Amino acid sequence: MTDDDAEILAAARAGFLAEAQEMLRLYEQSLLVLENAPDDPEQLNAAFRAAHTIKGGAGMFGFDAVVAFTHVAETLLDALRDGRRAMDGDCMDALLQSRDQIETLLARIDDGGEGEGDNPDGLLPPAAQQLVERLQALMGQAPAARAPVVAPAAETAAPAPVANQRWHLSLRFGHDALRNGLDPLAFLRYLAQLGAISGVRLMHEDIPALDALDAEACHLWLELQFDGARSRAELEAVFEFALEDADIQLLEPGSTPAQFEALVERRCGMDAGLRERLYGVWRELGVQFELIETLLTPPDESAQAVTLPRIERRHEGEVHERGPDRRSGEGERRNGGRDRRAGDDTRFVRVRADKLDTLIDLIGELVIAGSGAQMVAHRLADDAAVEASARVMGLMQSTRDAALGLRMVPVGETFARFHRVVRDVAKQLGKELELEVLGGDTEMDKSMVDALADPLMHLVRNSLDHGLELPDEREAAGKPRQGRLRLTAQHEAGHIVIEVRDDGRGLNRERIVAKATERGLIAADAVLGDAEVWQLIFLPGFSTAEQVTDLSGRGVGMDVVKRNIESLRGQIQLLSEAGQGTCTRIRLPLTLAMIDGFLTQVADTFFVLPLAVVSECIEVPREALRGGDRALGTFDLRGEIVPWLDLARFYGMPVEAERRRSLVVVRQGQSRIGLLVDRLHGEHQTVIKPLGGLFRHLKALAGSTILGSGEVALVLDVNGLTESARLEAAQSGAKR
Amino acid sequence: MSEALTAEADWTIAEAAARQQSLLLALESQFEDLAIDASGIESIDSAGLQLLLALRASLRQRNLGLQLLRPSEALRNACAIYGLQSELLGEP
Repeated sequence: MTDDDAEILAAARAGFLAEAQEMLRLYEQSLLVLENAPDDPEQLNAAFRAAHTIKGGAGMFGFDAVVAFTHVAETLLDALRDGRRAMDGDCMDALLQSRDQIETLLARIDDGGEGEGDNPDGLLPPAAQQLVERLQALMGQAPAARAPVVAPAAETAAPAPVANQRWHLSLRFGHDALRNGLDPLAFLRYLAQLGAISGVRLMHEDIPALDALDAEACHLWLELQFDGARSRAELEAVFEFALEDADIQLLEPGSTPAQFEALVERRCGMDAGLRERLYGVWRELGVQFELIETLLTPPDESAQAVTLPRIERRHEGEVHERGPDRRSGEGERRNGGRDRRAGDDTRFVRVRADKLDTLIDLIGELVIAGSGAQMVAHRLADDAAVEASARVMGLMQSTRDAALGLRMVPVGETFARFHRVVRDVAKQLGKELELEVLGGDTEMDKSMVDALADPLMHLVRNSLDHGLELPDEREAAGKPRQGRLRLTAQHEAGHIVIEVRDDGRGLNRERIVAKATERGLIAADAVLGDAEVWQLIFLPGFSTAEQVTDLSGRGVGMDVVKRNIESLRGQIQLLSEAGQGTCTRIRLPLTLAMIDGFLTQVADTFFVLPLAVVSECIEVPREALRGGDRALGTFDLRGEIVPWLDLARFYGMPVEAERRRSLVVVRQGQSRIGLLVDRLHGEHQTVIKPLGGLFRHLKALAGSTILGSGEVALVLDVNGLTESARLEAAQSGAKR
Repeated sequence: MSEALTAEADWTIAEAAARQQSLLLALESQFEDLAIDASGIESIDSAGLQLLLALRASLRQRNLGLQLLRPSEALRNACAIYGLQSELLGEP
């Protein structure tokens, strides 16, 4: 093997491993849904498909252990799918464990433990072998004896099949169907579980002779009749994961001749011989081309003789009327298919994260250079140059947004992993609860999603452990036994807001205050509002749990969570009502790298505010003018009391008294603050560069940026500012 | 009719190419109806069935027939699902 080959193989392998992780996630997700809705065929299909994809991929790379193991899990899923085994708790536990086991096996590959040919027998480690045995035991053993599937199907079939429950199905499998692991046989077996297949015809005339056959290509086309009172959605679900490799046409009972005609058109086009053959097959199958006519006349050759010309006639006469009809029907089918598979049919291009980062860095530099060019154009006062640079800037902004969009991933992926945690933890604690996830498709920067996973996990565990009561306690408190935990994500003015909300016992104000007093965190006689009390929880070393449990309360407390969130330039807030529950709200900027900024100047220093938080710019209010040397105070904004902060005095810069200054009102979440600046420069594309370690302690600064002119501007952190202002006010208030 | 060919156990897609090769070999020297002892077929999927149908098509081109003798349970089952009992197995 050459080096190039080895490299390609390694890349493909990495690709497989990444895909397998994604598949495992889907697998687990489907299983968890199944736990609550054991009869959901779509979820079974999804789990099956995920396992199948892993197996297929592993097979390609010769990871025999993974193949062997996954195959057993897949077989059990298959049995569940066609009803040979019913889903129960044991099954679910074993399947969930199989997920973990697959992960372990994959991890071994990742560590280089198992390579190609490294483990030729596909020997499983003992733990995996045990699980295999357990899965096989659940199968009731011997999948080989799959024998009479069609026959019992007839027994389970819904009420005696009557003509008006007879579906006509036309399945044409694509060339790659077999290669992709789809076996039409499996679909038929499954279909037979839903009703009775009353007639089936394999259109084997299409199968080439042996010497011309590609043994792995699929040439199968089936026409079949199915009896059963099933909905279209149910039948579509059967073929859900064949949609890419097969053309599935379902004609419901009582379909009109026009629909059959459309099918003929679809299958045979203008091929008269093929048409004749298809009619022949339908005749054999007893397809009722036209319900009324066949009911009136006995189903013999003469009936067909009447029906056939009728169809042909329509074909000649109503081409135009029929055309759009057919197409719209097709559209519906396709759309239906897409909706159901939303989430997993999107195609991805795998890109290395560092390539993406390089691109974003470059675009960042481009934006800076662009601002510079624009500035020069303005200075030259050349209209054409100004116009051209404005156009370039416009495009650059779009490019920037698109590039940042590349890094955006739905938060749902992070949320999804909580399903399993919640299930396991709830079981462990003997609590009953339902996890609800809303807004999982809200997107945010990948690095933030990753950084958020741990803090969120902590919050979820906290809610489970401390927030939610045991079922009996809940009942005693007049609440449903089943607790409710809700994770939501939504966009809000350039930010993303994530909430973890439970309907548990809520925070205990007295206990928090007592603990904080005991620890000397607050003065014994301090008068605090609820929100301030809740904030105490975020102080380092604060933990109120009376009993240190296995789950949380290990000293790594909410202070770590808060620090994590703040390092993402985010904000965390607690809301709670005794007996009603607790809500933790996290506000985060959408991205860390670039923002639309609002450029201001104080003395010689430039300050950038995120444009999204700027709500208005007004003249300096009288209250602030009369403020003397004070750096902060409050003013009346249309009847509302809003704090103001003089940036020059706050940062100890010279104040130009005679200058006409401005006040920028910024809003972040619920709080507002007015910032006094010397000059407003307007909108500015800002690429945030982190401040060096030396300046990390400067709380109110989020970073720096370089202006087009080469000068440095400081990016203000509005949360930090509000916080510092609050602290300073509290201190100066205390001094007085 | 010459002696019946004995069918291998695995007629799934994994082995389809191999089965095709051996069938082609058998076909080369075939001047009368081909009989295959199908009792040993342990597993067969759509790819396997397709091979049998292709084999039959090839034989037909030469006006020859195909007989699958003593079909195994797996083969019977697959044929039943596809409605090929009479076509392939000569059963009613």
